[in-house]
Amino acid sequence: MSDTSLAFMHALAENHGRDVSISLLDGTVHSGEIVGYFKGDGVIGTSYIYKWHLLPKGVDNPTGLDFWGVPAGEYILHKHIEKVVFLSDGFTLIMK
Amino acid sequence: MKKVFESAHSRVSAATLLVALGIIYGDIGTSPLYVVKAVVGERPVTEMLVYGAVSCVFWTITFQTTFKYIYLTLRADNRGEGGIFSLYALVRRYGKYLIIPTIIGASALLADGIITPPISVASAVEGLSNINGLDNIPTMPIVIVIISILFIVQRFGTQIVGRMFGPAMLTWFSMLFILGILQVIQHPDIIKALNPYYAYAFLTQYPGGFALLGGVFLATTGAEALYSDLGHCGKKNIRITWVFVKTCLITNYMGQAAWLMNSRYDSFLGSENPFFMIMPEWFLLPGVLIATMAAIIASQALISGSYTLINEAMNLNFWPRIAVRQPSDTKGQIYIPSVNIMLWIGCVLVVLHFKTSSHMEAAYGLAITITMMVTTYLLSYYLAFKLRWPKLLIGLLVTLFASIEISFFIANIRKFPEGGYITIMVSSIFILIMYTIYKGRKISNRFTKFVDLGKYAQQIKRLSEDDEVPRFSTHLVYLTKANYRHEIEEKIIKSIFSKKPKRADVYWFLHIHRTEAPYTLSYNVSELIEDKVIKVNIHVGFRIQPRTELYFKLIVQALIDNKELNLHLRDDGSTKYNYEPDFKFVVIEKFLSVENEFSLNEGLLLNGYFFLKQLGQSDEKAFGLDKSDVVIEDVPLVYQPVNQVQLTRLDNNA
Repeated sequence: MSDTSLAFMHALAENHGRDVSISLLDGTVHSGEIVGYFKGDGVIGTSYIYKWHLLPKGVDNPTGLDFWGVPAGEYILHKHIEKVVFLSDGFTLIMK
Repeated sequence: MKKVFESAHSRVSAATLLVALGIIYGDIGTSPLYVVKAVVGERPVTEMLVYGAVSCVFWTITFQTTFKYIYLTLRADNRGEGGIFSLYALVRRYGKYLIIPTIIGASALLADGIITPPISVASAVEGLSNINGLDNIPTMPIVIVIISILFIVQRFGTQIVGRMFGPAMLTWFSMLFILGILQVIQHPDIIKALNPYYAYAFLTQYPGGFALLGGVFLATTGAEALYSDLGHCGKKNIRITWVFVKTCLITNYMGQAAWLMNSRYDSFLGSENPFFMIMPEWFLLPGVLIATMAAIIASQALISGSYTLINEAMNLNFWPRIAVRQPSDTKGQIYIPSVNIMLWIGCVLVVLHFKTSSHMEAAYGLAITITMMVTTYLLSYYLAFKLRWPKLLIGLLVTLFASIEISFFIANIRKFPEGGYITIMVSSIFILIMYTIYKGRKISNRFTKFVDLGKYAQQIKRLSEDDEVPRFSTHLVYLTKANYRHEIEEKIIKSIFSKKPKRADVYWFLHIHRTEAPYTLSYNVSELIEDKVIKVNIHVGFRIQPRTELYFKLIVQALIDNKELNLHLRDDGSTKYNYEPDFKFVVIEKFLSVENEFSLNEGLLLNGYFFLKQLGQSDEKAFGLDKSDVVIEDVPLVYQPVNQVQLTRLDNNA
């Protein structure tokens, strides 16, 4: 089975933009900009990208960090993602 | 390039064969000092015992050493290099879990390293007690002195005495052959022992015969070391010299057996060692000296092998970063002070604890059986995925070797209470260290956030051109773990922009990529913003000690020579006094933050990981940057997004 986190990362690098809508397995939907990610780094049982950093729209800080250097937004574990829609062109990735 | 490499390693001459004799066979070559004595022990000498033992030794060496290691495992060379880590590097992509057996096997091999020098040297020195007038000579202090001298001289390298190893081992093996054949002539019937029937009868009919496999196994313990030393000589030289070495070894084993049948039949061996008993009395002193010399060479090979093993472990991120020195210009010769002290203490404690070689036999062999089983397991991956051998054939081979090695393991596990527990205990400590470093680093990396470098490119450019911000350095160099061109660690972006932004003319992001090949040294450069943001990937083989500063200077020089790099004038006017470019390295070191989301297991591993890291070298020294202008920044390992906290302000007047 291919690693869907890699497909997600490559899609981000291929001009689909960083604005996404992420549907989770629990039914919730989160929208915003992907500003970073954490690698599983070969730990057994984890995907290549372990979790994603999503910054909601309207939060104005270019580095994804607030005044104190603390990250804003939320972290989403890759294994919890069901579907990702890239808002710029509607490109969709189904994870499960 | 590949052709040049292959021809260098496949060259065969009298000189290369002599070098192979001196380097490869120290461990396996000194086994006759103690194997027959270990098997016979205090049992009455009978035909079934003696013939059976020799038969078992012959077929063990044939299956384990000749067939498994010389014929099969030497095929698994990683660009000419051998050993458990080289084999792991070749096959790791084919199995997620291969790391676990590799760590266990390497730890067991290292643990065995504290027994091999004491047992070899003690067995040789104990030969002195066979000389008239030296019957009661205390051998233990002599063994400790010899071993201590050996460890003390390590820092000076072995390039001068190393030239004597080949001729010395040629003398040793010739002695083994001559002493053996002189006894075989007197009892030629011993040649019948090569018939496998005697081995079968010994294992199935001799009382406790199966348990005696623990002693038989000592004849092949050096096979794993033989594979580890592959890189020094090349497989052709090993295969050719092995014919000579095996002939000498088997002849000597048969000679000892012939002497037992002629001189001690139906009686007991007592404290005598047949190895020295087959020597004419006039030859005892030179014989002991030659044996001691061979034991020292065996110990040297083992010590050098341990340095190589730890160096590989470090470069594959299984071991904390520690100081590695190069005592001579010889390629691959290294000296690791901390490992030297660790082995020295371990060897001396083994001598003090066991006192004699016969007691050390009880601790010897158990750990190396585990390494051999791991090698079989990794080898099956190599045969299946690299050589693409038929699965049925691989299954048959694995079944054959697994049956032999599991039998030896069962026989050796009986040694556990008698001394085997020592190597198992030491192995366990090494396993714990390697696993903690490996897993801790993985977990630590898992909490390293990567961001899209492209998103920050314009911001970096604006900062670089903003004259209102004081210049931090002309060239600012960061070490990064990002292996994709477009990504960078967030902590680096944060280091550049947060607090006082670090303005520089050129930003360098340097990535050290450890390759699966042992001696790779290459690089590639990509300019993300022309003359402003440059990413350099340096590919370094797992046997090479990274010298980041040196490589970086060479790369910069090459870029200047190609007119690809503008060195920029320093704005304080100092360039007219010093034309050297102004490079500043920033090393970001992580520490454990109290804000974390670790489970108990991960928390323990990370605490262990950071503790072991503190015992080792700093990142600055480990990357060879200690002579450079380096800024160290500490960042917490984990950032958590702020949770919704309801913080209520109280009214002072309420």
